[in-house]
Amino acid sequence: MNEKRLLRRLQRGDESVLPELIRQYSGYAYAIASNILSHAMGEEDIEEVVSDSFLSIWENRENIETEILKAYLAAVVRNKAKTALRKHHAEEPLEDDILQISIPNQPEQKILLSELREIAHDAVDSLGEPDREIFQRYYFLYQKTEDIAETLGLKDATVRAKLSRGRKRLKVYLTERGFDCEDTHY
Amino acid sequence: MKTRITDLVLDCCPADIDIGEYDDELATRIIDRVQAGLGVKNQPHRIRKIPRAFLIAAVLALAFGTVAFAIAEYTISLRKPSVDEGLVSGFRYEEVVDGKVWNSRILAFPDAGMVFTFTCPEEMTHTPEFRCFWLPQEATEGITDEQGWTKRLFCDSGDSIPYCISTIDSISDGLQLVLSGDVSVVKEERLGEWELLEVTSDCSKLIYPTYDRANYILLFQKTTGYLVLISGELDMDTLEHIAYEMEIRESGIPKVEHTGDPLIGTIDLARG
Repeated sequence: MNEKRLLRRLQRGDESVLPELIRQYSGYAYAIASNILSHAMGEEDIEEVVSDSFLSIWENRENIETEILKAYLAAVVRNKAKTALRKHHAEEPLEDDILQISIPNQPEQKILLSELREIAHDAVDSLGEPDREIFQRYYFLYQKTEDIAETLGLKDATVRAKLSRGRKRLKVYLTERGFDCEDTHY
Repeated sequence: MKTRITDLVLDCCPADIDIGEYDDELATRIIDRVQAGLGVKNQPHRIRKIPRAFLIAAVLALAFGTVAFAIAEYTISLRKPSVDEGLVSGFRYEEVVDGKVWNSRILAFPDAGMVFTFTCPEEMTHTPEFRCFWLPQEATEGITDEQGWTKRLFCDSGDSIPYCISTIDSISDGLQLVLSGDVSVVKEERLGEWELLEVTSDCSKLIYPTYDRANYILLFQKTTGYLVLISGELDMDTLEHIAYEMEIRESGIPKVEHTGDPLIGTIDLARG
């Protein structure tokens, strides 16, 4: 069914939309959760995270402001999966994920994070294809480089190189907007 | 401060990228888990919602396996008249005697492409009404109350009939409703207490064609015999959108009483 229609029914509190939503997006949601969690948790736990995500969407349906349900679901699944990782005291799956950003300690850090996300959004949008898709598959959907390479018909080394270029682009964007940053590790 | 790129790109969901594959068993397990979660957290909410919208409640019943009550059901069946069958014909009520309507005329339908036949365990006492939360364009005919409840909404754009939504209030045991044209079934779904039928009719070869093609969605509730027809020259997807964004309930208006032999009537885009 059309995504916007599903979203409208969801926002209206039409509970019958849930099975349809799950049938349409469970494969997608499970794939994201599995990319984040499979190194630390079993299938049963991953399914639990996916189920919790759909339940959370239902319970927060009145606060959904996005017009893109799929994106909202993906964000919810990512958050749920990351929370599950923390509960299991497990590491995040991506190693080249950390940026050290110089921000003066101030109470507006939440606002700053929002600004950083906007800048990151612009930086990702500025990437040409297939770099943008590779960056999103890796950093948003948590796909492994070898899986991305296979899907896009590229070499693994090419995917890694393009990811490296994407990170550099992101840092340039942040630096140009007053945020000094560098790669680091937790 | 240290931050993760994965957190920075939270607003960068690739809407055009699909990963994962549909797995029916996985979907069923997730539905079961969510159902269990709702059962614990939201059960009072669900029960409260059910009387609000017949359609919503009906879909719920299918989706979550709600306990089915052993009650006699109204039924709708459909058949394509065979060439050997000849004309589809039957009685049509026309006379009112002592407040009752009597069948008095045999009507025949040479263009019949589909016949819907109804069985009713008992006579309906009241008729349905509906209200729409979404319409592709404003209706040109039809009166609604303050809350939007009505029995008919009709839209005539001048050169086409985008849609007509109406309740069919004459459902009785053995009633035949005839749809003309070269009719084919697009979708036939059982949604809990409801039957949802989508049919399309190629009308170009009718004896008196007024439009080339018309689409119809019949929403039939098995426990009450309520039938709501959504028809139009709009595509089926748009009509389906109307169906999913509407609410149906008992109107409080008594059904017209009739007697005599089973009736026959037509379903028509312009009339409902």
